[in-house]
Amino acid sequence: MKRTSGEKLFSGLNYTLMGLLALTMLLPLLHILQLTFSAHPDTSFRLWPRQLTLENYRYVLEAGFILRPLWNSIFLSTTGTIFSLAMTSLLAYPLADPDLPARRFFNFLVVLTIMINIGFLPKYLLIRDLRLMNSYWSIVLVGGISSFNLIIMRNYFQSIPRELFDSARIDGATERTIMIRIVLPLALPVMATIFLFYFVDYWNEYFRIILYITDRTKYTLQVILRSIIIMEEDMGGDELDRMLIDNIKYTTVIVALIPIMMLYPFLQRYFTKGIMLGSIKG
Amino acid sequence: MSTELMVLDLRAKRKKLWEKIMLRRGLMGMLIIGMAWYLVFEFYPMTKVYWAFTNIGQVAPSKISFVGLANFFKLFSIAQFRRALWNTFYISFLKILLGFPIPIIYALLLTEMRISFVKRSIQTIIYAPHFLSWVVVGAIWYIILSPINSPNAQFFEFLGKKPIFWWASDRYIRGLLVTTDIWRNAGYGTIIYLASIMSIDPNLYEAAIIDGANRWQQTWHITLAGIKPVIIILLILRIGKILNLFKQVFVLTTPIVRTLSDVLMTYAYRTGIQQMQIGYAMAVSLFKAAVGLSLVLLSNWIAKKVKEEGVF
Repeated sequence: MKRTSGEKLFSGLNYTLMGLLALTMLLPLLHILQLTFSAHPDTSFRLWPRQLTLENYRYVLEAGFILRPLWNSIFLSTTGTIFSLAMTSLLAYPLADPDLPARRFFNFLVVLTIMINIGFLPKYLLIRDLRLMNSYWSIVLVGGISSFNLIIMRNYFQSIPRELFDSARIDGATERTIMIRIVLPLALPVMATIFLFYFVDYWNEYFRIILYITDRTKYTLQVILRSIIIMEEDMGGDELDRMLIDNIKYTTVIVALIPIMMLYPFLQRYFTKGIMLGSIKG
Repeated sequence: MSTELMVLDLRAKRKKLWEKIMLRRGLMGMLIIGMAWYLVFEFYPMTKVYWAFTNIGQVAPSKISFVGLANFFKLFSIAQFRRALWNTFYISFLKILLGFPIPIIYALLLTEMRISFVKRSIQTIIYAPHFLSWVVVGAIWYIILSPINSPNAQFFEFLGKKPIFWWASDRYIRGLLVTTDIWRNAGYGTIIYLASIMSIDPNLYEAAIIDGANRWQQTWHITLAGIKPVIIILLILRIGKILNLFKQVFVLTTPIVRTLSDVLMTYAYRTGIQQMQIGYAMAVSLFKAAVGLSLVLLSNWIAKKVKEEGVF
């Protein structure tokens, strides 16, 4: 098909505009990334370090500022994700079953928690009364099931043909066998999606840690990162301190990014499906 | 039917339900575990809304009593609450006004891209920031926009002016909240529009070309008309969530700019968690939840009217 000059102009502008848009997302990150490898991190914007070095990482790791929070983040994210995924699939399975008595009522209860959000105060006091303050259990339990993820998973389970369940049941399979042998293998894409959603949520968690954890040794990367970034205001400090703090800042941003970047290719494969399932039918 | 038969029938029904439950013991077990979690961590906390009608947190534990609507009257007499309410609406409104059309425009522009390698690369890049936490997004933009040792400082040095400390400036904080929100979420927001553009019947475009419609007319009359229902639903959903503004503000703002960026939830956090005025903070939360729920129900009702299909 022949294209008019107007269309060519539009096309050129379009590619330029979208390219620039992508750059607004890439450049800030690349700038910070090069700073972490630079022997002379300075003010100017650039994409390649002035003098390539790994000293910054070595120094920051040796100084021990981020090792502990990094470990905390990894620990919380993995255990939290496993717990949440288990709880969510455990509940999504019966809610997807058309034979479940009062099924509509239970599903309504789940939707209700999305519609009514009375805030963090009662949950905070509940956790305090359960003596779970300063324990990661508080974060994992309060975040136990995301109703949004539960609905996505339930919808997926519902799309599995019922005949499979019925014939398995006639053969004498228990619910556990059906769940493990039939549902989980068939629902692998949704399980992967929800796994990634939960992992990203736990990794990115900030507020609940501020709320339930006061013991500084249990702080995660996100909490540490925010405190270093915001600290800037009330900090005079001499030149050396300033450089050290800046280094910690830059490297922590990159370290906090790495797992997300590693998961991103997988996330991208699944989230389109996830968002469609979740938002169209809810 | 005689009463006796009815009783028998009822018994049979009960027995049948019981048999059904026993037959599916495993299923019920799963349901009970999951629902137990909902009961303890979602519904039990919900019962605490009554705190909003007590003076808990303001008096000694032994003197706690019901005070009726006193906390709610107090809300509107306190300037900080009115300020938080106004800021919530103002920032949310700005975000919708400036941020809502952007994913639609991105989606239209992406659809016009024919080189699929470039298109996919750009999609990959613009979806990504959505998965970064607000802390990381904040860290990136605090570093870039810092008044010292930053590209921002470099830029003002070039201009020969004193650098602006954007994040500590009353004048720019709301703009920054809106911009960083767009930066993080607008790309991801295109997914749903792209999917609905893909589902438009290609025959419509061919027919339009035969009728002599140019590209602008095709975009306006076919593409945009085709995704109109999705746009309306998403806009309505967005309006329903206006009061949920919290995490971004909590992470990105400091007390310096509180006058212009304090929102309902951050105010509830300060009064409830930091000052432990539980009754009063619960009133703030309940007010927020009630207005939020009515907005959601209202918007869902409108969505049903518009598309004969609600969201829930």
